[in-house]
Amino acid sequence: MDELMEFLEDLHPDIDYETCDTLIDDGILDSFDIISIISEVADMFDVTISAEYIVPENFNSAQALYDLITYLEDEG
Amino acid sequence: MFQNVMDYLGFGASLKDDFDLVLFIDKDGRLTLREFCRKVAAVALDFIESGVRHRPVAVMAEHSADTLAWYLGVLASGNYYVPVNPDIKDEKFEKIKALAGIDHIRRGNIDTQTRFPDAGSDDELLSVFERLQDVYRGIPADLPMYVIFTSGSTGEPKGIIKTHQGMMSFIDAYIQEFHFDRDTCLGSQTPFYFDASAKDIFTALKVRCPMHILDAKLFLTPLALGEYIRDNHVNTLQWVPSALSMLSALKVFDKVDLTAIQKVLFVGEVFPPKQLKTWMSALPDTEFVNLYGSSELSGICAFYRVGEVNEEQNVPIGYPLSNSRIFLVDEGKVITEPDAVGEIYVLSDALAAGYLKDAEKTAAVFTERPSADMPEGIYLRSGDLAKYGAEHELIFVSRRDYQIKHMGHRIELGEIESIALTVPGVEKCCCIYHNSKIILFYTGSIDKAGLSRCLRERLLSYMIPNRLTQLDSLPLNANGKIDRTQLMNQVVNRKRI
Repeated sequence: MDELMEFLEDLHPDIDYETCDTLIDDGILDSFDIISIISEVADMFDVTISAEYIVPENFNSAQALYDLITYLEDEG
Repeated sequence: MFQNVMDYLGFGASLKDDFDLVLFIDKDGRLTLREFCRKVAAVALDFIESGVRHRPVAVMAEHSADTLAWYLGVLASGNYYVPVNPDIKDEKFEKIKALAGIDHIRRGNIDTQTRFPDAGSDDELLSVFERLQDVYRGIPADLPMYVIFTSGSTGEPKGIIKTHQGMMSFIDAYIQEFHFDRDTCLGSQTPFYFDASAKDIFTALKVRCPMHILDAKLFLTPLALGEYIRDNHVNTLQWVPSALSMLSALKVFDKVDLTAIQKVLFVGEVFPPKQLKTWMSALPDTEFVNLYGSSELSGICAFYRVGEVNEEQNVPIGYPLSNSRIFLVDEGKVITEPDAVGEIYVLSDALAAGYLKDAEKTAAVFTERPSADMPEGIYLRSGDLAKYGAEHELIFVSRRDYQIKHMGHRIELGEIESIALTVPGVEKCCCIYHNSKIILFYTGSIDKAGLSRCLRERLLSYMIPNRLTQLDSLPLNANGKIDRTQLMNQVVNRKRI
């Protein structure tokens, strides 16, 4: 989680990822950010986020994203 | 020979036969040529009745059909348009308005009810266009078609004057080369304030084929995007590679059958070979074409049909479009042999008329022939270095300066630096580009979060550095300038900085 947080903070240092749960709904993350996140997650966790998981619910908060990664790791 | 794009596109008596064709589809629905013409007419008549003529009109270019109706309405009333990113920062917009002399700004939905209550008859609409013909045919020969603004290295916007002649020359050559016709169905990704969108807009208007104006939100959900393309029979994509890569990197092809796509034309940046390969093996019968152009001309001037992807090398620039000739020049000599590097010079009917109110820059970029071995004429000096491959195809080598292509946008690293320097607490800074990331090194008292906040207020999203790195001091080279090479080496040799 720490590593993921560090990456997300690099992406948008001004966002409080502990509390923000509207990263997509409020347009904080754009499609470029999503691509960065997916490629970074692939490097960091060796997890591929495939297209069906790229929906707002999974990207609205750092926790949701982390939960998704954990789920995909267990699946893997 | 047409003098004006409106004439060329047939905005006159010939409209009638095609009034029922569906032309644009956006998030508000489907628009037939008839409905689109009503909007164009409403816009044009408003300008004419308020006496606005031969003037620039800024259009806040949302990704909607109405933006295109604003563009054409501006043209039909004998004016010219200036596409503007709706998210533009006030300070930059003020500069653009001052430079272009803009006092008319348009945005949002176009009301046709007032002008055509109960829609009105086709004959009434045609008679409006007959009147408009007299207006737009009467424009001065040197009136621009539109002026597009890009960022200069100093952070000052520069306006490029695009001509009616240039657009007509390009569209003719482009349609002929790629056989666009009424069976073409475009999916438009490129924002309309970005010059590369002209390929979509004017192809659709010329051949009168449908164009789906894709909502930017679709690009957040790749599966839904793929399904949209499939379900709406979109068969032609002219996108930036970063948008295309999203579908391939996220394996959308495994879930959605996209084999009905006939043409994928990509432009604006390098297509990562691995992603291109994924596309080509998923769509084996589709034509893949790399396009090469410049804001200093209409559309593109070279293309390369990709047969096989060579992972060792970027996709070539290829060969000139039929309205253009390309020369590689090094130190006043024309290069013809393979592997020698030279700068690309373009001779074309589609060249822009120059930079707005900047004769010096215009003279530097739109130049006489640099060598007596070339035909006489005005050449575009592209700033791109290239070489010939074994099949005499042009291969891109690098930029001459610090201009980069990032997420399909042309960015001057110098502009990011000059804006970062306006942030209180930033002393010095240097921007480099590596591995598709903009990295800003800086010295000063402000922390990363504070600087990031300030940059977000001052820069457009695609220009915001992906990484910020605070240093105690920036390395200097022998001339006392910031040593970019050393910073670049630091980045290349350490994965995370």
